[in-house]
Amino acid sequence: MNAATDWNEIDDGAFREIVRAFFAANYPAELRYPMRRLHWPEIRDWYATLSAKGWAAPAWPVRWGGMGLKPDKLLIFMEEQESFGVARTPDMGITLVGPLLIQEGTEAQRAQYLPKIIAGEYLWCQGYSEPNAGSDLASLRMSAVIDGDAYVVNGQKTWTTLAQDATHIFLLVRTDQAAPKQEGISFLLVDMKTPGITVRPIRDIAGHDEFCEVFFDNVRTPRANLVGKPNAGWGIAKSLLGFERIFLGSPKQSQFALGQLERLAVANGLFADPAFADRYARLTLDVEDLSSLYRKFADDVRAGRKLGPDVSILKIFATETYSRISGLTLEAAGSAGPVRSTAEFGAGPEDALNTYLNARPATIYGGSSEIQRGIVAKNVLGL
Amino acid sequence: MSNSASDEDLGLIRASARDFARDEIARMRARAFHDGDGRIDRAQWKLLAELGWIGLMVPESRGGAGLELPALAAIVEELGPAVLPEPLVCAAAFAAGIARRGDGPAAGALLESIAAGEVFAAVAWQEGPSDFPGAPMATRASSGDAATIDGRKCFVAHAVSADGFLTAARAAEGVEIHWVNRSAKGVDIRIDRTADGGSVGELRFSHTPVSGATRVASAATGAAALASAFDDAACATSAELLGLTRRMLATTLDYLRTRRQFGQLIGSFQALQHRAVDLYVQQELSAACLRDVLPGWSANDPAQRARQASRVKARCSEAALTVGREAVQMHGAIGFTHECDVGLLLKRVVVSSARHGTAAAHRARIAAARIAETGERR
Repeated sequence: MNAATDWNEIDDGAFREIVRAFFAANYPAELRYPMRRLHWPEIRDWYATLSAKGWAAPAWPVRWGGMGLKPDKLLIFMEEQESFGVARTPDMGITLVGPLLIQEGTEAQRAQYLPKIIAGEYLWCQGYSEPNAGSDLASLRMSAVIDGDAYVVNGQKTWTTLAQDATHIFLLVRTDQAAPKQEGISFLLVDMKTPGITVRPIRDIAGHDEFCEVFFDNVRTPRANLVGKPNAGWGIAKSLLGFERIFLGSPKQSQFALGQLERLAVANGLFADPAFADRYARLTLDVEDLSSLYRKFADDVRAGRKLGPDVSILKIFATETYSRISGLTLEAAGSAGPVRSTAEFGAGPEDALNTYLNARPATIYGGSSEIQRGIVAKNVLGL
Repeated sequence: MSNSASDEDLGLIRASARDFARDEIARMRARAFHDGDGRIDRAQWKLLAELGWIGLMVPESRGGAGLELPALAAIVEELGPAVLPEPLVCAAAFAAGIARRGDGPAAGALLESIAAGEVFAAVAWQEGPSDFPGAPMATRASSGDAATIDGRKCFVAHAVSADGFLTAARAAEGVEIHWVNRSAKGVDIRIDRTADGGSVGELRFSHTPVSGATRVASAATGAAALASAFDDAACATSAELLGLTRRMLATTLDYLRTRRQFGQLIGSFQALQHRAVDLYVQQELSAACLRDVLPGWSANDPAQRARQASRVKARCSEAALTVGREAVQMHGAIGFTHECDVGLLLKRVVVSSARHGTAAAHRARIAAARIAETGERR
C-alpha cells in the first residue's frame, strides 16, 4: 500500500490483518512485551521502520505525514500494537505535540516541527508536573518572563518521562503571576540543548530511569515558540485529552498479568487451595468485566461519540485490577516472590517481582485513582 | 421457534416494563407482599401472563411470545426497582425453560398452562444450599408400573404459592423431571419465609407416585433441560439485580446530594464521594458484562452459557449486595427503618443474589472449570 491509501475506506477486519501482518513481519521479536519503557537507542530502528512505512503518526492528518486514521481505525491500530507486545516509542511528539500544533500552532511552527517529529529527529518530553504541582497541576510555578524576543524560563519540572532521550520539551509555564491559577498558564516549546537546562534521571523502585527532573536556569526560548495565545495554556492542555484516554483503561496489561499468574499457580499447584481458586476466579471475572467496560467505551468512540468524564472509571478499574493481580502474583510466587529477575521482556512465572513493581505507578500516572474518583464524583455523580 | 428481538423491539419491551414499574402501586404491592403470607396474587399473575411476560420465551405454538433471553432480561431489569412480588424469572426462565426443553408427555400441556398464567409451577431441584445442576442428587425415581419418587428437596422458590413442582429425580439412566401436584400423595411441604416476603419450601417425597403421564423430561433430556434453564434464570436474575443496583445507587446519590450535616451536603465529603464512585464502578461493570453477554446468548453452546451465566451472576450479585450495604450505611439510621425503601430493595437483593447461585458459588464453578482445563492442558 502506498502513502495515499485511505485506510478508513478499508474494512475493519482487513485493516486489522494488514496491521497485524506488518507488526509480525517487522517488529523485532526480542523487543516484544517490554516490562519497561524503552530508551531511544533501543527502539530507534523500529521507529525508523514505522516512519519509512508512513505509520509513525497514525492519528495525524495525511497532509502532515500521518495515516489520517479515524477513531475506529486508530483503535484497531493501537489494539494490535498492544496485543503483539509492540513497545511504545518515545511518542510524546506524536501523541501530544503534533495534535497540539495542528490544532493551535502557527503555520511556521507546523512546518518547523511536524516533519522532524515524523522523521524521528525531534523527540519530545512533556514538562507538566512540578515538585509542588502533581495532582494539583494548575498550581505549577515555573515562570516564563518576556525579555526582548525571548521568554526567560526558570523553575523545575519533574516526573518528566524519558527527558534524557528528548531533543525538545513542551512546557506548561506561568506567564501571569497575578491571574487566578488556571488562567496564567501558557504553552511553550523549548529545545533541550538550550543553555541553562539540566536533566537528572530519577531511578524508580523497579530499578529503571524512565523519568527525570529537569531544571531551568534562565533558559531563553524564542517568543515564537509560544503555542496558542498567552495564558491560554490550561484550556489547550485540557483540549488535548482526546479519546486516547481510553488506553489508560486498556485491559491488556491485566490480561497479560493474569496469564502470568495462572502459569505460576499451575506450576506451584495452587489451584488445589479453594481460597486461592476463589481469589483467582474473582480476578478473572474482574478482567473479563473490565474488557466489557472497555468495549462499551470503545463502541462510543467508534460511534463518533465524545468520551465523557465517566471514562475515568475505566482507568480506575483497569489499573486497580492490574494492581490486585500483581499482589496475588507476588503471593503466589511464595519465597520466590522477592527474587530479582533479569528478564525485561515477556514476563514469565519467574517475574513476579517485576509485575508487582510495574503495577505500582499505574494507579498514579495519568491522574491518580483518587483524582479520577474526584472527577467522577463531581462530574458524573453530581456530588 | 424463537426469534431475536430487534433493538427497537427490545426498547419497546423495556419501555412497557418501565411503565409498569413506575406505578406507585407497584411499590405499595411490594410492601404488602413483604408483610403478607408469602402467597402471590393470582389475579396479578394472570395479568403478567396477559402482558405476555410469563410466556415470553415459550414458542408461539404453545401460546408464548417466542422471544429470547435478552427480552426477559430487559423486562426484569426495568422491574427490579419495583421489587415485583411475582417471581417472573422463576416462571418464565426456569420452570417454562425446563418444560420447553423437556421431551416428556407432560411437557407440552404444562408449558401452555404456565404461559397462560393458569398454573404456577415451582422447580424442586436443589438438595443443598450451594448446589448447582449436575451436583450429586439423592432423590430417586423408580421405574415400572408403580413408579415413585423418594427423597428431599430444599429451597424450592415460592413453594407456598405453587400448584405443583417440576421435580428432578435420579432414575437409572439419568435425571428425570416429573410434574408433581402439590396435593399428590406422599408430598410433605414445610415452608420458610424469605427476606422479601416470599417463601421457600422443603419438600419430602415418600413413595410419591409418578408415571409416563407426569414425565416432563426423560433421562435423555432432564439434566440438560435443568442445567440450561438454570443458566437462563441465573442470567435473567443478574439483570434484575442490575435494576435493583441502579435504584439503590440513585436513591443513595439523591440522599448524598440533599442531606446536610456539619453545615454542608454530606455528598461533599471526599470519603463518601470516593465510596460512591466505587459503587458506580460496580454498577457499570454489571451493566457492561450483561451488555456483552446477552446479545449472543442463544447462539452459545450450553457450556459457554454456563460460563457466561456464572460470570454475570457473580458480578451482579456481589455488586448489588455491596451497593445495598453501602446504601443503608450512607443513609444512616433512616436506612435501617422499615419505612425507607432502601431496606426493601436490599432484602430483595439478598434473595435474588442467592437465587440461582450465589456469587461465591458461581466463582467456584468458574474456577473448577478453569482448573479442569489447565489440568487437561498439562
